[in-house]
Amino acid sequence: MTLAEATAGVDPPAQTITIEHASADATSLAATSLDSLSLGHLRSVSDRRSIRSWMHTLDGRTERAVRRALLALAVFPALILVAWRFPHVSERGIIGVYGIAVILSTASIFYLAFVRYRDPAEMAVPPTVLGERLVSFFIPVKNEQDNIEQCVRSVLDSTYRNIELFVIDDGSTDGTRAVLERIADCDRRLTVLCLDVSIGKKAALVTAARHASGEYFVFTDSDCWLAPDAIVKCIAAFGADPELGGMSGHARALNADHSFLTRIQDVWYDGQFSISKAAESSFGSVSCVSGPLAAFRREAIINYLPAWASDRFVGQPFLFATDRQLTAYVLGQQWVGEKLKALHADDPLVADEPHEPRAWKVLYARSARVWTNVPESPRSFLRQQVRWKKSFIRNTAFNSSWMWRRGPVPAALYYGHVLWVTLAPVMVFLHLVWWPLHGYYLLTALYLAGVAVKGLAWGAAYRVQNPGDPKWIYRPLMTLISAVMLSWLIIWSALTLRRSVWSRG
Amino acid sequence: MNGRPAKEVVVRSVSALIVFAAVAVPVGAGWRWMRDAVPVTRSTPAASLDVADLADYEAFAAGPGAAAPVIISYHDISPDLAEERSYDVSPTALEEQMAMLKAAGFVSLTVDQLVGYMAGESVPPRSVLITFDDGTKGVRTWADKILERHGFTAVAFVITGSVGMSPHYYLSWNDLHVLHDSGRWDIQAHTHAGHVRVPASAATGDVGAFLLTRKWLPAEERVETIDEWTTRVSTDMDLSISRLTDEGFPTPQLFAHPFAAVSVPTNDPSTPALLAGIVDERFVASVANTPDATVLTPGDIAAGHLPRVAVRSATTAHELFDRLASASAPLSEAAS
Repeated sequence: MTLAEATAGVDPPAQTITIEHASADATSLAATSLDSLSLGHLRSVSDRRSIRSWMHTLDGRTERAVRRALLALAVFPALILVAWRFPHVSERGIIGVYGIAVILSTASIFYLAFVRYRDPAEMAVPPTVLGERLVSFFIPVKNEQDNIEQCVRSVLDSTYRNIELFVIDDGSTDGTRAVLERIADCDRRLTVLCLDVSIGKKAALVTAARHASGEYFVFTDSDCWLAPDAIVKCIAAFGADPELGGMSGHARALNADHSFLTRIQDVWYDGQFSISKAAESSFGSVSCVSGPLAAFRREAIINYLPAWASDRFVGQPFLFATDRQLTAYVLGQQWVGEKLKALHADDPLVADEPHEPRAWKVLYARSARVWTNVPESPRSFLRQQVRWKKSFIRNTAFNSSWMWRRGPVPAALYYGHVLWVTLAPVMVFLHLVWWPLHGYYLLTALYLAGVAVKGLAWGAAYRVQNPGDPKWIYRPLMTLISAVMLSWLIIWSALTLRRSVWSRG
Repeated sequence: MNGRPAKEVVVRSVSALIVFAAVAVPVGAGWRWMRDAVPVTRSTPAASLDVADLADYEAFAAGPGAAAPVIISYHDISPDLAEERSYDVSPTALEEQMAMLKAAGFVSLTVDQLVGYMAGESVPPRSVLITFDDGTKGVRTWADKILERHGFTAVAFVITGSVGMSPHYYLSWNDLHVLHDSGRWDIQAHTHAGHVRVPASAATGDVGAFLLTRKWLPAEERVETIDEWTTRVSTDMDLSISRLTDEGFPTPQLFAHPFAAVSVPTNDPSTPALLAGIVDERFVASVANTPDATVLTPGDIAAGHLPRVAVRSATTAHELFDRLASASAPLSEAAS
């Protein structure tokens, strides 16, 4: 898809089916949502596939039973492997446990994502809700003159009309400001806040939030492109569930066709969202409401924005505008909320509208779609990875003390992930450096075979989620790159934690 | 609409069955494999010795006994004896033989005691070093309980490269730790991966013992040089030691030759002497089954090559007694 097409909104990107709904009016959209299941968006391309079309003839409960059975068959060989190796776990020490843990956790995550997950935006919504409630939409920007117009237009052209859009220009020195002023002249819903001196992304967002009066706060990045119905989907979900505090959309790469690197990132994004986030969402505790489309109920975050903007870590301000951290305030406010509010008790964002900390759900909506420009050069890709991992480290320090209280499954997913990220570089070092140096090449081969199998499992999951899309083959490659090259970055990130820069992603 | 609910009930039932089967089969298989693999130790009923045999044994116990120890060699202990596995001994036979040793006044030695004896310390009369080669499952499953009953210690000569590799046949590292921690067992060396035969010649298709044979290299159409042989054999020896010490066991002092092959057969007459040198550099002594094994002689000790009395499937307790009694004879007579 070219940028021109995206901006004009003519042909929807090939990857998405939900866009077709965008042309429909709100009533029929809600009506189709009534009986839609989470695989519903695949319907139009999958009718020729007999199992899929047959499954659509079943009622919800039966369809879920069939899915459970299909998943059980899919993971059956892995379970047999585990059963075979389990009696010998003690002989291999931590290595034996590691292999079995990876297989079982992957199977469990697939179970949560394929069987338990429900798209909250596909729930029934009274159509009257649509358009009644004001959405405050925020886009921070710095030096993005080439992409900002298509981003802003995708928000303003959204089928949901009741929007106040804040674009905060954090001291751009290129033509960004001129582009924004030109659009603002034509659409009064857009407010451009110009900061002559850069104050950092989070502070810039919070400055805008002080002017916002919407019931929902939705964020995107300045290089993203929103599906026309993405905001409708978000608001539908918030309308249907009063306990919903935050919701992540589904992001893919806008520039997937640019190169090999962007294509594998695109495939990888799909798994990170439609599997990993779906698994977390099935128990209401998505750990990161992602930057490309992050939607929150106002009262779930407003009191914590001052804390977010002034977040400090290891003795200095932590500048990355971490979507993880904002999510953490929603997930953990029952346990840390009062303390954070007390620190900023005089701030109008706390003092003017205090809200009791609540046990919010944080979900992910597969049907709320957004596309983002992913890094095109290996260098910028690695820089983004390091940034994410720094945010992860900062966030782990914040979340770890209370995340277990969110319940056994979210806790298992969360701490399991932390353990995985911590152990991965150790395992890579042992299998690719230490043991080969000691002559145990078979262990290296077995490890790489394990990585390949895991990559193929995720590739197969991509294939199921994206019928007919041949790009699933990129997933094993990304798994390999992630295991062998990216896992090291957590160490580098920890060592360079104090170095941070303004960045949109 | 009429058939619809029925169809969905069928679909749901079939799905539930598939899920049940897909979970139950691995759980069931895992349970079974686990039960098979985890060595449950099994008890063997205590042997009741024949009155006449017992009289023979007790008469021997009342005698002076040999001042020098004798070494006995077992392999796997298994109730399922196969004809081609003539070195396997059944738990019942082992129990009877241990009861015989006890009645005949034998006491078991540890490796440290044997090494002490070689250095000039004394051991009790009628001393015996009970050894089990290859590190097989039967050692933990059957032999350990029998030894415990009679108050004997023993030696396991393990092939380190095979430990844990075949859960139904070889002991795991965990098994070895359990045995060692019981205080009854010394874990000693029996090569790392050298308990195999290697091709000796392309022309004849002959194979020979790993440690003694200069291996045929098919890609280069030649046998390995003596230097290559030395490197291959020394590396295996070093691994057989380091794998044990890496696992936290004491450095092995004894080495058991596989196939009792100390000198023959070989395709190079120079290897036995070289092998003896390689072994001597690394171990206090080596042991090998010898048809005419007796109690240890000063000559055996000087050479560091100790003979063993091999027990086979068919060996009865009394036959073993006779063998030990006659093995003790030369020195007993010399002593008296």
